[in-house]
Amino acid sequence: MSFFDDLFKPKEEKVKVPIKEDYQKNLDTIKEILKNCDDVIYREFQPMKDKKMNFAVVYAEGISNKDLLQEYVLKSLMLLSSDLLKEPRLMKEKLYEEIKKQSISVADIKEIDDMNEAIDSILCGDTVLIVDKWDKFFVIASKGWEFRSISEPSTETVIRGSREGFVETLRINTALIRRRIRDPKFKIKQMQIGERSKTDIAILYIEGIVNKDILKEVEKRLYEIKIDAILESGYIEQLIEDEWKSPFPQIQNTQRPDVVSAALFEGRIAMIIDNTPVALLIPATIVALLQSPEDYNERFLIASALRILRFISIVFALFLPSLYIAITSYHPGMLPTDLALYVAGSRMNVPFPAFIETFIMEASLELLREAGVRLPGAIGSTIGIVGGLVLGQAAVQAGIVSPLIVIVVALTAMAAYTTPNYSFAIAFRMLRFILMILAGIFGLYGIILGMIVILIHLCNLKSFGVPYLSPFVATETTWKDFKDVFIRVPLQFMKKRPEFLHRKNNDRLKNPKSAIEEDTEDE
Amino acid sequence: MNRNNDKISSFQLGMLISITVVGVGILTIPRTLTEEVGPDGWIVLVFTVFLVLGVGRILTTLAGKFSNQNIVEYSNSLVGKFLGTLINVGLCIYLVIFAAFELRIFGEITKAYLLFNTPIEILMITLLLTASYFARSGIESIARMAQMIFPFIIIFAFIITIPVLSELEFSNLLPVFRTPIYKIIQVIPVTFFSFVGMEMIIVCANFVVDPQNIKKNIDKSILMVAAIYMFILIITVTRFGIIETTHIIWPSLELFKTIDLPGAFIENIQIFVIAVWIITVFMTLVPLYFGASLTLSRIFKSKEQNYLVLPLIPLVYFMALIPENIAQLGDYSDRFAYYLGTFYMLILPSTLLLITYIKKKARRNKGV
Repeated sequence: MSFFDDLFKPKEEKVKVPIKEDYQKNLDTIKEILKNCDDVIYREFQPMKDKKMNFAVVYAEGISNKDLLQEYVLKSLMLLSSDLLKEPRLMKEKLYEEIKKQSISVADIKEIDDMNEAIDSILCGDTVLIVDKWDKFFVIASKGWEFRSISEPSTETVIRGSREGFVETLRINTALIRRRIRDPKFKIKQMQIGERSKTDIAILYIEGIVNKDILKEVEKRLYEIKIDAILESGYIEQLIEDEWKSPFPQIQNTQRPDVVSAALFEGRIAMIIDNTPVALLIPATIVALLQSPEDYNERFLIASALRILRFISIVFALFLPSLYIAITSYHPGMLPTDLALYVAGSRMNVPFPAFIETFIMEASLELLREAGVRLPGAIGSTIGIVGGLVLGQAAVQAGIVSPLIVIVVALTAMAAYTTPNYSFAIAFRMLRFILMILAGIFGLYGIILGMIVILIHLCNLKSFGVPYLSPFVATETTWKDFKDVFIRVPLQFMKKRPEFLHRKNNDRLKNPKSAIEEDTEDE
Repeated sequence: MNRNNDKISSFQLGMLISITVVGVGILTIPRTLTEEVGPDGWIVLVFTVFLVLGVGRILTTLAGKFSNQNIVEYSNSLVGKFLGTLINVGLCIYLVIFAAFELRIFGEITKAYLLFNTPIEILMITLLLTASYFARSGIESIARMAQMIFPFIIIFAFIITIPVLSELEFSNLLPVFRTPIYKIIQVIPVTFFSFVGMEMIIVCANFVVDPQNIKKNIDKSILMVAAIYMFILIITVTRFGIIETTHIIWPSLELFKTIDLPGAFIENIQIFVIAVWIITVFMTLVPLYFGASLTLSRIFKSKEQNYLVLPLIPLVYFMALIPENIAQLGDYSDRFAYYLGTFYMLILPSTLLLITYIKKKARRNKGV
């Protein structure tokens, strides 16, 4: 990828500020730049009293490992004096060598000669060691901070499967994936985005399996980002996605390392962003967004049945309220006579038309959901009971809504929750209201019209060059991918990776070893 | 980001043609055939299929000869600028009228079966606007949609007819072979026009990335459409009998009105059938509409097709309003299919193909 590094080098090259030999000036410069940054600690010391050699360590408190600094840097530097004092002549030349090679027992240490880099390192959590009469700094890798322990992500729980979820620290997250992919071809490429936030972003892929065109496109789009701060993966997602007008997420997000690993093995690309437990997967297709990691852990019959259930529930979540409106107000003839009479009877005392009735109930459901998200756990469930049971029951008894609509709304809500991906489910929640309005105006024809428009939009949509509706639509025949759409065939029949990414090496099960060799020739 | 929006596979083209052809033909084919030859309709259909396969060959051969040129471009070079422009403007008008008919039929049926009180103009204009939105998004999306929708429609059609099976009376198909052979030949053109829409092959063929497979896929799609027609014809005739079939305006839709699903939640399946049919007719309308705007853009030598969709909206809309009632609509569309349909489906392609061969020969002679 060196070609791309050249091509997309940031145009405004950072001005390099050289480091001077004067210890005091250097320290003053740093202090000037980091003025009023009170979390930065300056520790000056003079190990050799008579020679007046000045040393200083500069680090930011809270994001660097203080124990490491005290034990392996400061302590050993202060002990340094006694050995070298015996040969004062050599001291000047040997000092730096000595420090680097013997005194500091820290794994990662490097020399830099740029003031800006030094500042960046301090703010990243590294420690800068300033040595008297020397025009370079040492940067000691001392990043270390408190992080949330690895726990199960609350939004993507599984019954059977790993309980690990990502945390907010990039390095931990990449380690979680590295543990699952012990392949030298698994690459983690890092870059920083955000002029001020300087957020670390890692692009993960497996060389040889990944489609290089998509990888290039991802890198290109990342280089094009010009923003001051990246606070969450959502920023990246929205900045690099294909179509910002779409309600559908074109990049999958997940908090589970096993999902990321599975995607990488399929040949997709993952992105991990520092300070967020949410990783991005590229490209996303509608089928990928409807899969749960458990589909592959359960036996195929059960997994397939659950998948079909999920597809049906998507249809329910999208169409049920609008169908209720259309049938009750436009096409009561669709129902059997008994049922039609019952529906009419239950709606007899309801003062609103079906559209208003449904709209009220659906809107209050959305209110309930939003309230449940904001409130702390214990109160959240109370709100659920109060809102769901009490309000629903009261509304029916008061005769404002018919009991049927309560059933419809409850079914819709349940169906919506079966979608594994939250961003995807939320799109359907919104579209449901549009369909309800259309059904209120045109009945069933309105629903069809809305469905057509949604389908048109989905047909237009691409995620990094891959049609969003793959494998239902694809220029090449990708029939083989259907083994993993509505049903999931037994694993021993999934010999090939999904075709929709159009990569060279597709062997998953048959002969993975020879496939690895092929890759090597390919390079 | 950059959307290279002009690559479809020959498989997708096949699907596109199938869905374009099926949209309206399916409604009337049982009636027209039964009117003419009674229970022998299926024999006529079999003969017609051979004819249509031949026409398909002509169209695909012509498209194969100019695999990276649009009809507008090569017709200009074959018959000269003036005649070429005349033909192409005609083609555009033909497609517009065709689209207008589809739109009107959609309006009539939706009003008759689904929304009795809504004005037909509203129904037509909403569908037309949706269609123009789709036509603007380019051939790739349209082909994708066709590829996705068509199998779904077939599966749906077969599933929905299962409850009808118990009510079929196969003796309605008897007596067979009572129609004289000259009568069958006379009726073939009538059936042939249930296959209009095939001329979309020459309009869209230059988008195909694998031209070598076009013939195979078009043959497949013609056979598929024929199978659907045959299926619907036999089901309708055996369900209603000869006399009733000839008296129903849209027998294929009427078929589902009386079905009782045992223990079902939904009594009237017909509404669902209409709903699915609306999607089908929409997918017939859109390729025609797209074809019209594409031809127009090539005539004006403009690279972009999508803004030329907009001026066509009022054109299609007002043309759709011209027939005063269903009878007149049927009359007009029959005549339209006889003259313009024959010309653009059969006469024009074969003439162009002939000219290509002659020119090639002339060039070879000159070379020698």
